[in-house]
Amino acid sequence: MAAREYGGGFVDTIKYIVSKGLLEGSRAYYMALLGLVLMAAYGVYVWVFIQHAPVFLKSDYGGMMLTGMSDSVPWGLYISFFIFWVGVAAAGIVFGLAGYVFGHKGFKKVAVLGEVQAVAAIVTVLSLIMVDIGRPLRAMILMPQLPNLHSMLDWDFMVLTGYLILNIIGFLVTVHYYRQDKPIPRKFLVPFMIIASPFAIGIHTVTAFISQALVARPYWNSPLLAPRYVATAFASGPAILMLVLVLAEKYIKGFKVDDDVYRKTMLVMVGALIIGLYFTFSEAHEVFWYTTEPLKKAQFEEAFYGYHLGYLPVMMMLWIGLGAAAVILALIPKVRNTWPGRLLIAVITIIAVINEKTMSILVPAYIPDPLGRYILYYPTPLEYAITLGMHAIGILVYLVLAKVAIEVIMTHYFRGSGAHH
Amino acid sequence: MKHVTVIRPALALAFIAVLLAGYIADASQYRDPDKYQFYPCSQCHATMKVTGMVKKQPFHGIDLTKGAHAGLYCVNCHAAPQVDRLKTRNGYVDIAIPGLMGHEELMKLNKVCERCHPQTYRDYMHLAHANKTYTCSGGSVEIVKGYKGIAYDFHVCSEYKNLAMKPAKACVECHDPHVGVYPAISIMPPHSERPAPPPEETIAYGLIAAVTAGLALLLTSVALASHTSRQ
Amino acid sequence: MVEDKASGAGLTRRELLKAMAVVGGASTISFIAIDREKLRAVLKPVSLEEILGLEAEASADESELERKARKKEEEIKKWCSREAEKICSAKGGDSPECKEAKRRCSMVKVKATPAKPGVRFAMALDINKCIGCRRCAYACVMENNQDREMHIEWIKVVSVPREEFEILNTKLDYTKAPEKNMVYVPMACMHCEDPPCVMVCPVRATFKEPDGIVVIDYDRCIGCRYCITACPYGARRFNWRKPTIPVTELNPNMHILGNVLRQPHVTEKCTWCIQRSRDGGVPACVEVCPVGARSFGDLNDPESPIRRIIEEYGAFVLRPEAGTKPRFFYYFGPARTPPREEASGKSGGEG
Repeated sequence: MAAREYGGGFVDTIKYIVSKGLLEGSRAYYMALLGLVLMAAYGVYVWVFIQHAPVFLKSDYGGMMLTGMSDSVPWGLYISFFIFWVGVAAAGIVFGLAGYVFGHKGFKKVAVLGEVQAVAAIVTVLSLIMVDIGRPLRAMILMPQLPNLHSMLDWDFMVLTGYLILNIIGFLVTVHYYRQDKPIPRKFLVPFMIIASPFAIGIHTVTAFISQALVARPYWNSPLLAPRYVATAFASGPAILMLVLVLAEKYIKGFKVDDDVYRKTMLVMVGALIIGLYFTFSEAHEVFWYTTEPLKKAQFEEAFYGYHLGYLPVMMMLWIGLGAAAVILALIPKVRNTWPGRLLIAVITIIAVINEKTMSILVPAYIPDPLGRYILYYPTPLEYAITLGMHAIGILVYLVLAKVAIEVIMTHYFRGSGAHH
Repeated sequence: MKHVTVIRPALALAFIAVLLAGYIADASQYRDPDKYQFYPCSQCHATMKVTGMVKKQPFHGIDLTKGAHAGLYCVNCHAAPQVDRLKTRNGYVDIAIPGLMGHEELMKLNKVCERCHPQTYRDYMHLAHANKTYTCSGGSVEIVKGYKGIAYDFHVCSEYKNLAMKPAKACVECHDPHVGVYPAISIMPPHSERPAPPPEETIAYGLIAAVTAGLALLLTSVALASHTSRQ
Repeated sequence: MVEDKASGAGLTRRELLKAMAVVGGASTISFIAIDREKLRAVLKPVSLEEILGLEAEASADESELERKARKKEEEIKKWCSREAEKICSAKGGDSPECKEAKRRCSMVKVKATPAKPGVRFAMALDINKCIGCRRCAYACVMENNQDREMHIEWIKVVSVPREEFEILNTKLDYTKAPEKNMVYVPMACMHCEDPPCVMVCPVRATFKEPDGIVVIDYDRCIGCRYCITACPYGARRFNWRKPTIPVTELNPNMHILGNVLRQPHVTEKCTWCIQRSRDGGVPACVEVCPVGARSFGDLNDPESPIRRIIEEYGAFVLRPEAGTKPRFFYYFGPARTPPREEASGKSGGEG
């Protein structure tokens, strides 16, 4: 039906996305959008007028002084969630790989949802960097014109924007063909997948490389960090996608996901969780069994025992406990084959990885600092507000794009089953 | 007043004593001037014919049985019986008592110390031992009390270019030759970190309001969605 | 999921792997082949003014840095006179504060002295002499126009047990010093030969000058705080808000890469008092040290204090395993301050 309303050009695709995403929808959809816009607007307001007031408004008050960060703990909540969402972003191309390269029909259906997830996650990531950087406008002018090729931050910036652009292209092309009920042409898919696949691995690898090679921070300074990032990324990304699929299947009439997709996603998720837990075990062994490197030991002790910062061991234990619980639940067929079971496993996995990937991977590297000081870090309300606001932006993008994506999936694969809601 | 400026005179208040530099800014770290007497040496010593083989001289308040120079007698440094003449490695240097002994005059006495402390003297000449300072032509130095009570040397120069590094003090400006130990120095207050963020009630309340409103809207939408889907 | 090699419309796995190998190989070769030095020479830093075409007034005999310094000087003088007016109207035109503020404002001079060729600055510190009085740290604040309210102190004096020189077991908040079983180690920027902070800066805002001083271009810094994370010596500080400096305590001797007034949300650190040392002077910490524990000089000059110390006593650096090759040397000098009690009878007093 939709194909008849709009022409066949790319401009019409944009029109289609705007009208499906923003102009059509139920009352509930607009309520959700409004709620997210409110939260996002509050976050941006707090960022511009309070946290970055000295930069944007040249005022004497405010500044990053209001965050809990200090010279000893220069990165905090923003970068923690930055790390987490970079991991989530990768799932997009993983689903595309399974669908387009290995020709799995079930994955091909939902591959565009993975791309949407990647776009939303990268938008969150970039907004979190934006609010964390002290002088964002200067960064936007200076970073592209003369990057320092020794700096991993530049590489990360490049891969992240590259990955974002790729996923937007993937999404647009998918929508363009699906809405006209045509398959995506091979001519596009071959080069697209060849370029995009290295990026998917590249984004967490480069993000891990930001911290991995720093001799100043022994907590990170091990070649295991990048694999650890990738491992838990492959747990959290598919988990979020599975959560969305389970909910979409439940609430959207006519939307069906192959059982094989769940089975394979679960396999990837649980495999990644096991590898991630194994890496944690391996690191713990290195530090608590033999090592005599004092700073490394002190930082790991802070992470596992939390002598000064109580929330770190709680997060570590939650990661290990919930990760193990998710693995065990996924081994029970009765649980993993029912929709509440799938939902439960997905949620547990997401919570476990949030505990592993956010504060507990970042903060112990700063406590104690190289001078042996224990300067503690607790996020302030301001940081929570801005972090939430930036997440609201990401979820907003996700909601709008996912609505369009599901619309076109319905058009292409479940023709005649009608619109949802 | 937060801010006290004390002028350090160019000739270092040399009137007070031959061995005393006039650092009044941080007086507690320097020596007590009362112990030292400053008569014209030759008036008494011309007729006394001292040999210098004593360790105690209560009249001058000197006691060589203690302190770093405890192993010495007067004659080790003074060319007895002429006490205002000091021995250097290969000659003598005269101290003009009473009279003005400025920084430049005192610097000449460094050679006396070199006799027994050649290593330290070489370090000193290489600017590796003792304080260093710089001068600019036509400039002066003011001692300013500032951050956390530090006595900071504020250089006033017309143009801060072509500066010259040199030793700040002569040996005897820091070390009392008759005692030889460095007096105890007070320490400054501890370091402070970045102060804690100021209270941010407005942000906390705003945060709670925004989260509640956003969550309420989201929950309503979810409820509505499940409601409509069931229909 | 890899097992599922199905009939679908996708390209084959072999095709994908082949193409990926070609792409990977090409990027590896180009990455290795790039001559970094040549690239750097070609890619000169560009300022925002250049992009916007505001650079009309640049004259031929003035370097980029000098031009910036001249602009900064005007800016600071304006700001300073505004602040001075505030003080004068609050305390009266004849008050000493007002006069002092006005005098300091009239003296403000922002230099852009370039590095002297063939010079490699270095500093050395005698741990046996240091009594941990912290005068260097606070004189540094005065000299370098650091924010007084945020307590940005470039130098931190840590106390370490004499028996094990492990920087982790430190205490910074001691109130009684010197103690017999402790040594005191002032730590600031080590001005490394291979500075990790320079490597990680995404916009090349921090760099090593030819004379070895690692500086920050405050107009380029984007405040990402990656360098703070990368520094193994905890030497870098961040301006978490707009700095406040009393004009009556302003140091008018400024260098554009050193103690010139900072903006909010930029990083700063020790520059060995570039405004003094580049012109032949001595850093403020070296000048103020009451026991003369610090020495400063040119490492390339055989007559310099640093060479003398290295040859005479031998020196070491902190965290040599970090491989950053610091040019801040520590050494245990010939005498101890204060002298040990049992040794005071003989030779302990020499320090």
